[in-house]
Amino acid sequence: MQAKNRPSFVKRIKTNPCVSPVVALAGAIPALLYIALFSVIPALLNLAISFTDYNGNIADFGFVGFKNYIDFFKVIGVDVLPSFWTTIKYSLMVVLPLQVISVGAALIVNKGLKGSNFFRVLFFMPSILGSVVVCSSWKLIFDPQSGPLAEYFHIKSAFLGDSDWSLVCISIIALWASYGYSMTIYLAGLQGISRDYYEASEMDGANGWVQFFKITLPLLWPSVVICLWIAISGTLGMADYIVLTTGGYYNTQTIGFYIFDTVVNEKVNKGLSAATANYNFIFVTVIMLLYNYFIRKRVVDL
Amino acid sequence: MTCGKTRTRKKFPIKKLILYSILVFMGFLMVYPLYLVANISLKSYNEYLTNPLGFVQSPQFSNYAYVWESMEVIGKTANTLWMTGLAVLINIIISVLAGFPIARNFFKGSGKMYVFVLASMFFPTSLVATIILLKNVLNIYGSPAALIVIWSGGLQLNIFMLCNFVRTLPRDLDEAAFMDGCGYFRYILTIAAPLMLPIIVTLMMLKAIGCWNDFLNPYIYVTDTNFRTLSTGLYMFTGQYASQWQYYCAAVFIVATPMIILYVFCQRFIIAGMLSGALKG
Repeated sequence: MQAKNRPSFVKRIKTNPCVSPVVALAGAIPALLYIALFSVIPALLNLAISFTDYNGNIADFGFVGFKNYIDFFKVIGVDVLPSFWTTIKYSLMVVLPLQVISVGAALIVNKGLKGSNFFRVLFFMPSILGSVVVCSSWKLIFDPQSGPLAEYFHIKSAFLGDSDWSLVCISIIALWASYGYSMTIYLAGLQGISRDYYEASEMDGANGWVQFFKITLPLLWPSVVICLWIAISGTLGMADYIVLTTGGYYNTQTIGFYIFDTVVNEKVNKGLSAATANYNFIFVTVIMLLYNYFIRKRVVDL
Repeated sequence: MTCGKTRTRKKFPIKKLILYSILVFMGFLMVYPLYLVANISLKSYNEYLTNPLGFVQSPQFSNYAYVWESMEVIGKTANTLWMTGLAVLINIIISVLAGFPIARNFFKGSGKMYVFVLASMFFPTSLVATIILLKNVLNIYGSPAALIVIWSGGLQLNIFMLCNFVRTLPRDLDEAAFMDGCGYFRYILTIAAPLMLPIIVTLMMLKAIGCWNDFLNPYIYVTDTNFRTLSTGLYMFTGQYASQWQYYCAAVFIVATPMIILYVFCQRFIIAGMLSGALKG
């Protein structure tokens, strides 16, 4: 076999002589074109635009070097840098409690009490509702005048209109919507853990907590990896819920929302938007690399 | 004589009670927002003012009729349906046509193409560049064509999952078929696709649910008001009727209903599909 750097599963397959490679390639071309057009070209275009001051008017733009990258900190830094911080805050407020609650619920549902299946189905339901339905329903609950939190619990707060608590409210909404999904993944992971481990440890005198930390958690780590990945990538790019609940006010501007707002409403020139997108990419990549290093590498085989 | 009396008295299952109450409490939390929406949607405006949260006393189904007409539910549902359907179809056809020959190595560059497909997943995504591409280069921004093009994306993950699945299919089948002179596209359509049906249906369902529920993409890419989707329509409507909670809630409930009904009937399938999408992707 000649080519040494093909993916491993391709190496062992001999090309089928009866199939014309041209026809096969022709079938695959649309996908190739699509990916080139909508994944590769935008990335390159973005890079190119970030070095200009293109403002929508094709006749009037000039190459400005790294000006946009520096302006990012000066001109719009006052709006953007807090956005990164807000994004991190939001991400932490959603990702960490989500794992705890999902694992807890999965453990309870896994016990196999009667009716567990019904609860499992019930818990998953919010995950399939669209973001508009979710946010519209929760705006009712967070209504400062006649919402249930104000009436039944007498919490006097503007909730989504309060600069300190708005992000927390949005985190609660996100938790509600994604919790069923995470729980289902953890449930599947739990069901893959053999009962022998628990029985053996019980004979050695281990109680529930020890069992959890020494057996369940390490063996569940692949599911944790998946759920963390989904949660982190979902929250880092979050713009939906912010648009639907607060429109970016009250300290809830995440970087995803910031990019959406400035691009769609054309608040800054396109070169600066492009530079912002690149900075965001660096931000996300760094987080993903950290995630890879600290979390992915810990998968254990007992 | 029994040695050692065995305990016949049942221990009061306090642990079970606690667990059950936690489950019930969580279930209640899951359902409460929708219950609230349904409850308020049936009240008249005056009843809401006097009794916002209690159970509805005199249900007004006319709220629904009003919203149905005012928000043009049928038009928007039709829009969403055909746009989602078209996008899902394009997506799956392109993915299968690419995934199959790559997995089977039918042409020389298939390994490189596979690497290209996967690597492109990690390229930076840029809203500015996409909009400029659609607006200035292709000139379809604002029309439903732009949305369908965007919704047909997500190919990389599909191709990856298809490749993994195709690897498990027997290769003798296509060798035999091709030796008998079966045309390539005919083979994919009549033999390979039915074999891949489980994963094809799963991928289509995931994409369809994602597109149906999508809010941001239709909001950004479709500015023509004739082609609004349900999600953007609901957003506009709730913005307009923000103080008339009964219409607001009726609208939310109408939009939520199709997915809830679908979920009630197909929940096992939906849950299994979304689970496998997460685990394999």
